[in-house]
Amino acid sequence: MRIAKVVGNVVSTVKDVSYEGYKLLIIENLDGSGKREIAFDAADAGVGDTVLLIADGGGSTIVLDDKEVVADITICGVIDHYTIGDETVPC
Amino acid sequence: MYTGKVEGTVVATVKSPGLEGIPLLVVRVIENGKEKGRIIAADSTRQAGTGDFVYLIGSREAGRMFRKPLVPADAAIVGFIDDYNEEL
Repeated sequence: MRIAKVVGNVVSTVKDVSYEGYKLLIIENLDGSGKREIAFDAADAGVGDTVLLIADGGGSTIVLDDKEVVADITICGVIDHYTIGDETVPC
Repeated sequence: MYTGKVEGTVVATVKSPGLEGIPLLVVRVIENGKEKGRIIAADSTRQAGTGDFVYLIGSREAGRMFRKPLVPADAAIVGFIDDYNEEL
């Protein structure tokens, strides 16, 4: 799993039919890479949220609870805060 | 998924049977707003053309976009981007 920040959203009308109805958010990985990617939202996240990502097709199918959709990165949680060592990282 | 811009097409008559009937396009990968390398992507929308701003899926999911077995693709165009709104 990964931690990322939601930094935007994507509007796309022409896409795979199984993508209908899903919110596509732009996330920035907080693993030091700062890499931005497009993720499916399964946790009702919004811009500014720190989120939990699953980056696997099988996992995404479970999280989205949809056998048809073919997804790779999916937001499966909104993080309140996390700790590294004894340091609490506010989100 | 990641973003890219379609730059051209690929014609390959001799290829793996799993790729028969699948449009292959040249895509310039765009990451964090910067142009990266070029890749060849299978077009699951079957509508993408040069100049289109698209988003793509990679690894095993790419082949799964075609809903038929044994499609050996590792990158597939999955949709067109109408609006890309991000905080810098």
